[in-house]
Amino acid sequence: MLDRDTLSQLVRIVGEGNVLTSEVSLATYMYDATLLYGRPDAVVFVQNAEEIAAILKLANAKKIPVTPRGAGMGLSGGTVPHRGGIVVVMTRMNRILEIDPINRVAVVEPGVTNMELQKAVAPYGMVYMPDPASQKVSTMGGNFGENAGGMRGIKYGVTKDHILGVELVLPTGDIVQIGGKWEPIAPELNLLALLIGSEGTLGIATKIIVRLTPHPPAIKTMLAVYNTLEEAGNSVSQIIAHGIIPATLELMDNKVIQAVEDWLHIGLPLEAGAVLLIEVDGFEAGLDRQAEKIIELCRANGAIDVKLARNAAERDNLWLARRTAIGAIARLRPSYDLEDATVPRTRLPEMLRRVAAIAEKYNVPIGMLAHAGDGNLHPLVLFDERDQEEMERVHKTRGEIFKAALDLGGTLSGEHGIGLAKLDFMPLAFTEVDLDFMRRERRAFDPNGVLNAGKFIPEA
Amino acid sequence: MEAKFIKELANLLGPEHVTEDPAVRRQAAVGGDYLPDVVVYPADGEEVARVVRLANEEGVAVIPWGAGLHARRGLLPYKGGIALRLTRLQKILEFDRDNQTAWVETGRSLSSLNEVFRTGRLFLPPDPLEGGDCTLGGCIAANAAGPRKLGYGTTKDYLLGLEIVSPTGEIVRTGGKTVKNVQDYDNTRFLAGSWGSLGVVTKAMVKLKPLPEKEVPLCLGFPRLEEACEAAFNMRQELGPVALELMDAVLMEALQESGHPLPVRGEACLLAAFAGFTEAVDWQVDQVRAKYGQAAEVVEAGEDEAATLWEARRQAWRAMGGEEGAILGSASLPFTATGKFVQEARSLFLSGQQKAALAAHFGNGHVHVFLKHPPSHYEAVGEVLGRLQDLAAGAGGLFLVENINDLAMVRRWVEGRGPALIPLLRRIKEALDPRRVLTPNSKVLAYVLDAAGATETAG
Repeated sequence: MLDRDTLSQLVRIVGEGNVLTSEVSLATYMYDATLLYGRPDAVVFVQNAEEIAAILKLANAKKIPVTPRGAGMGLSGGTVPHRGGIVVVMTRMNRILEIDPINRVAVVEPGVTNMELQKAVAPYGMVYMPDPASQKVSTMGGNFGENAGGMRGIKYGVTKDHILGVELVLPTGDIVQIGGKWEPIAPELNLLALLIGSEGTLGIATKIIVRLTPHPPAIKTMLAVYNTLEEAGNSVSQIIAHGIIPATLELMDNKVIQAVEDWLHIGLPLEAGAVLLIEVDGFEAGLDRQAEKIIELCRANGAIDVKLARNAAERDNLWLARRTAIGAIARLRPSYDLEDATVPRTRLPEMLRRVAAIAEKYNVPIGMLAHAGDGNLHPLVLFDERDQEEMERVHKTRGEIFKAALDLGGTLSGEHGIGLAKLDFMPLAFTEVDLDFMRRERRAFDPNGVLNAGKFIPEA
Repeated sequence: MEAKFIKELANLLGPEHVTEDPAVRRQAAVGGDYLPDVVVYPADGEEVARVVRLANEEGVAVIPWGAGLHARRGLLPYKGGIALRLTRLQKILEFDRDNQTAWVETGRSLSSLNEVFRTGRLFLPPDPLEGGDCTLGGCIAANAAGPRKLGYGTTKDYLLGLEIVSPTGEIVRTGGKTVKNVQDYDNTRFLAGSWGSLGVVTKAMVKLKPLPEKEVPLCLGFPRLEEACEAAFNMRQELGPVALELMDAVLMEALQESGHPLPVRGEACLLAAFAGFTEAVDWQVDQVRAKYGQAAEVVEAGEDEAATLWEARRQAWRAMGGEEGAILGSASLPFTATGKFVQEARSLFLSGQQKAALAAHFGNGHVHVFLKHPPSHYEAVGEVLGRLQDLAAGAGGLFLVENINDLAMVRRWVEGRGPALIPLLRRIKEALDPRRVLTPNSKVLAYVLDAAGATETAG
């Protein structure tokens, strides 16, 4: 519980209507997109950096935990206020402040959604390349905090490759500018690198400067169908070995195919072991040859069917299965857990095999999607949260998936972050020395440990 | 430095890997009379860690050193301490062609790494003007890049993970082997460009790119500077070159005199490179010829000429500096203001009869200014530099003098971005390097740790 003085100071900072403390309000901000919960003591809506600075100064003085929150779409518990305290909601800071297409930059507030930014820059022929699956709702602040990925990672990188600077409130409540629109030439440490993907532990971004990329002049989209996951995985490696870096290489397994077909009836073969959605982009000249080569390689690796979209409508059609995959498979059971263990690309077929074996071992259904080009697997673990016995099996399943990923030279998380959900597994990925290095950095930013404490880096 | 300490170093590494020879010490120094006390050659990360731990016990400075080609840009002259030469760290521990990655030690040179990577039809793109002898470690310390920065980015964009020796002498791993990886703070990129101030990078997992099917550099000579700027603007907008360099007539002339003539004439020239799939590159080159073939002299470089062209660009600094040196300024600008800045700077030099050359990474909005003036008489050109600062600031950009060790202006600029930044940077350094032994002379932290040290003059 917050004391009366703290509450009245919060009201003074953001105004009466912007501090919520009713049971219903608090319950509304207990969760994110995981199954984790934590009850805050107050929920505060902020409008600008100064308000956040004042809240953090107050929190430091009174040692109150603060949890920043965008749309609450996180997949690792990063916005769950597990230690109570204040939830700072950023969604009202939702203005696009500047779009400068010739200099290829835009400036947004953190509450703008990824999709709002995409729509705003599209008329200028520009794209903001990171496109997490949550883009319709997830905010740019959340994307920044988690270093969100997406479908175009292999060619265009992830959020960290497209953010040039931020205005940031440090955990100590000081406002600073980091990075900027133009070429960095001053002798400075690259603090921005540390901040992107810091899961709200090192500061709260209040303005974000992003890099825009001209829309590719031409795109070719293909869908290849395989009998086995193995063949699809081999095709991925072969395409890349031929010097072609597609913008997208999305893989879906049989379980996902069946779920999608069952829902949409779009003519996917129910017995197919895998489908691969492939997209190449670039200048028109030479793109046909790349597409032909890809089709040839897919066939040589066992594809039973390869479709090439001839127009925008056909392209949308090929994308439909991928776009609806999670919705389709989530229909099968009351709850699902979406993981993001990532392995070096060539280990993906092996990883898929291991996950299938784990699913069988614990008798837990798992559908598999993958950003195959960057080895980023999304196992969708399906279950009923109310069944205690089943939940224990789910828990063991997750643990084994993480161990398999690390064992194959991969990572606990490709794009969702550690947060609370994977905190217990951090000692598998890092030595105590590695962790201590990060703890020291964190203390330098947040000496009183107020911002998103107890997440991401396990406490000593 | 005490003999006893040198002996301990020799015990750690073997006496043949520890030297006090002044000639060797001079090779690992930034400036004139300021030399390290001893130069050591550890064999691997483990030995680096031992040296750093010993230095911590004694409170002795340790300065990592590769080929020394970038050092002047990022380090202040420093007297004493240990120069930690990483040139024995040469191993390629894994070259994974299929995943297009390599796990390598950082003492190896870029050109020697690329020789190996090319056997797998892959390459590591950074192409610093300091040349292929730069070590990977040096490139990481400097976050180096060259003309192809426009198309390929900087060194940090090719790092997936690192092994570092922390300032307290522990071996720390960052990142990993996958492009998507969010399980740690991104110390991989944070360490890039930190000039050895927060850790000694001993191994790196680098991400490689497929060699382009075709690369064509074009050299275009324009009768007027204004036309060159306009062409550069349009080329970046429409044709997507991987490099787009502008050089003015003063620089072209200096290159001619120093034996690196460019194949075109005019008031300015552009060096534009196109790389990628054959059909696309052919199309790009055709477009350039169709659009600028009338206004400009266009020369397409074959393989040998290409090397000569890039070599000429690399020689710009030496050609302008000569014996007495020159003052090197750097402006960072909105792309849209780059042409105007270049032209206004040119008029400024003309009206002030200042001998100065301009070279721009045009596509990145990054302009280099070479003032033919010995850096030791820096004050005499204060007015010109002030005008250039105003020009850049007026366009929303920044102008800094690079090779004068006066960091007071940088400090003011950083403070202007939030007074809390300096204490934050100090806390980071203190948290990771409590005894301040690692690279105490890095420019990135010198003005943070010691406001007075920020104005030390060049040796």
